[in-house]
Amino acid sequence: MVQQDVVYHVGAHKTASSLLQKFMRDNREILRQNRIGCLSRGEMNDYVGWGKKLLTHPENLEHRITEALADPWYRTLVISHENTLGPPFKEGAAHLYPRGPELVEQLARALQPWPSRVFLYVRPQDEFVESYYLQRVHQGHRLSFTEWLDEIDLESLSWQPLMDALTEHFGPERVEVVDFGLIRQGQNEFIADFLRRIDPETQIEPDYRPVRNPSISDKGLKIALAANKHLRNDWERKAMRTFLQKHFSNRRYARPALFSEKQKVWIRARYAREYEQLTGCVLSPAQDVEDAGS
Amino acid sequence: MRAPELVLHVGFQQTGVTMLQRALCRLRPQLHRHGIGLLDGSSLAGLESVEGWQCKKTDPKAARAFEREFAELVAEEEAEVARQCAGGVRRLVVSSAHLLGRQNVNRRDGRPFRRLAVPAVAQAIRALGPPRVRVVLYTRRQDRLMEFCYLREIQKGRAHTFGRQFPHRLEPVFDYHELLGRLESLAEVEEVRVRPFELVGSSAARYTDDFLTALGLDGQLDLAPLGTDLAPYRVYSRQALRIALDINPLLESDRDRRLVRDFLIERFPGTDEDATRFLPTYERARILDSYAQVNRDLFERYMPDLPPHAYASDEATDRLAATRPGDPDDLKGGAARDAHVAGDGNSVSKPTPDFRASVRGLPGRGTLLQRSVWLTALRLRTRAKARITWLTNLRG
Repeated sequence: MVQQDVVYHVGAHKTASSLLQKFMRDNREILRQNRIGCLSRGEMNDYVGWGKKLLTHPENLEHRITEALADPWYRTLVISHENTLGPPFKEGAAHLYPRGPELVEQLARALQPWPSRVFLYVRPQDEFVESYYLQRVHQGHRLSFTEWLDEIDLESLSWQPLMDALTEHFGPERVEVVDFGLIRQGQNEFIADFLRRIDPETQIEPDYRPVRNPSISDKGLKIALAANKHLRNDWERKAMRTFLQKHFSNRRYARPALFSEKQKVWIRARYAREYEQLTGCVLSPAQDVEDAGS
Repeated sequence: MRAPELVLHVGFQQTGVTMLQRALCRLRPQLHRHGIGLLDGSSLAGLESVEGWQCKKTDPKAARAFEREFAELVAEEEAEVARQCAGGVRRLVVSSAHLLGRQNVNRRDGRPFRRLAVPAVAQAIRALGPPRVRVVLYTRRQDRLMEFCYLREIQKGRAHTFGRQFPHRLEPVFDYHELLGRLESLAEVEEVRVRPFELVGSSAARYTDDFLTALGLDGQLDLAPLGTDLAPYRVYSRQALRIALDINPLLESDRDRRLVRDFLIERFPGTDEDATRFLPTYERARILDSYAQVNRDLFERYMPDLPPHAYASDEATDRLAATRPGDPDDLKGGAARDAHVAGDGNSVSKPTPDFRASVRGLPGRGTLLQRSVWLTALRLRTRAKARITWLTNLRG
């Protein structure tokens, strides 16, 4: 009997998790042919959500995984859910994903019946913070970057505590940390790398329609901040987001100046060594990476 | 050849002028067969000498150049009609809200209202030499007119307050009655036909039918070519208006303004009711109060088939829209109800008999002194009422 395993992609946020999820959603048959199964993003909201459901009813996730792997055809079940570790920021927190260690422990217990691996995609902290802020604006928030940054301690943006929790509960050989900068090689290569990590012998060569998720420009950001207080529901916010991404993206107007150059240099210097140790990547001077399907 | 009778559709702005022009264009072949020529504002605006159009200030030389070109344009249209109608052109329709003055409805409107209307109409008469002129005006209740005009400015990308655009909003500046009186003073103007847009503007067919009545063509044309796609100018919802007021100052190019406008109209579309319901109730009441007399005079003089208080309250005005044209009894039935104070904040009180007697029946509606006294009294009364309301609310 083929040993079945579980690959759990925990994000982080703003590292093209949506791109991977959409690819898997749209290519279930190809994945199935390669003996890879997957749970949908929507399902994971029911079983894990932002982590509370995992803490209160982990058996639901276990049952679902059992059900998915009841078909012996599948060798690997892939689960991708970037909200698993909770929100990345919290006022007064000591590190990124302050609830992460607690949730990682619970996740490890839930996955205990199967050989499992965890994928964590990371990006430099300055990019991560800026990208997450823009996402919040798209979701309807109205604080300026400066106001929002007041709630974040720039000295508490370490990935290390989360990484420590993952290696503690899963074992270092079962945790893969990937630098999001890989997206610069193109979306198809990014997806291909993800699939190779799942199964080094995979024959899948992604040829996926690019998911363009252009970042809004500085002008688009100002418009969003001005408009958000008048938007009443998700439909309106989504319409506004789509409109701004289409007509006020950073392809036409200047990018939003969020962190100053001085701040970026300081942040990178502070976390450069940690980042290199985690990913093997040497942090270069800040260069922008398109948010792709994040 | 004897010049045809001239029918001037002079607007007013924000009364579906463009919609009517488009409708008439679709009926152009039929109009031609009935000996009726048609020119709209875009034809005139396209003339090389348009700067000489006296709907705005211009010098005499430019004005003469415009008149020559205008006459040539009319001659072309008449030739076209003559090809379709054996009897030649018997009537020429010129439709343009600019005939009352080429400016948007805003703070520059003052006394006299649309001061360039007479020169512009006189110029058309001079250029074409018609034996008779009929002026057709569709009115819009003044508070709603201001709201529509304001909304239109915001949709163009501006972000000023309503008060800035209409500092005169509590004075009866948009006095249709006085304006029509000036137009009637032109010797060639034989008839002035006035209709409230609220009565006919609910559909292109209804509106067109009403206008064709002014041409003596009621019921004679097939309106099928109008189709179903003619619609009034699309407006923002109140939510879109709030968004636009915050976004518009951030937009720097016409492209950006157009994109935002199209997006807001598409995603946050409004209805006519949205467009004309954002004034606070108390302010609307004050505006209606200030226009009560001039509107009553307007209806009594030019629309005797309609209730004189049709513009006195929302209920009375909305009843116009709900009524079929040609049912004077149906309309007049509400007159008694409209004539008294309803006490709902949108109502107005009737002027005192002594006050009315001071202006009724006098040429030009009273001397300048009487008019000044009347305006001052109106202002004082309006302020007193507002103060009483404020004190009452304070106590409450």
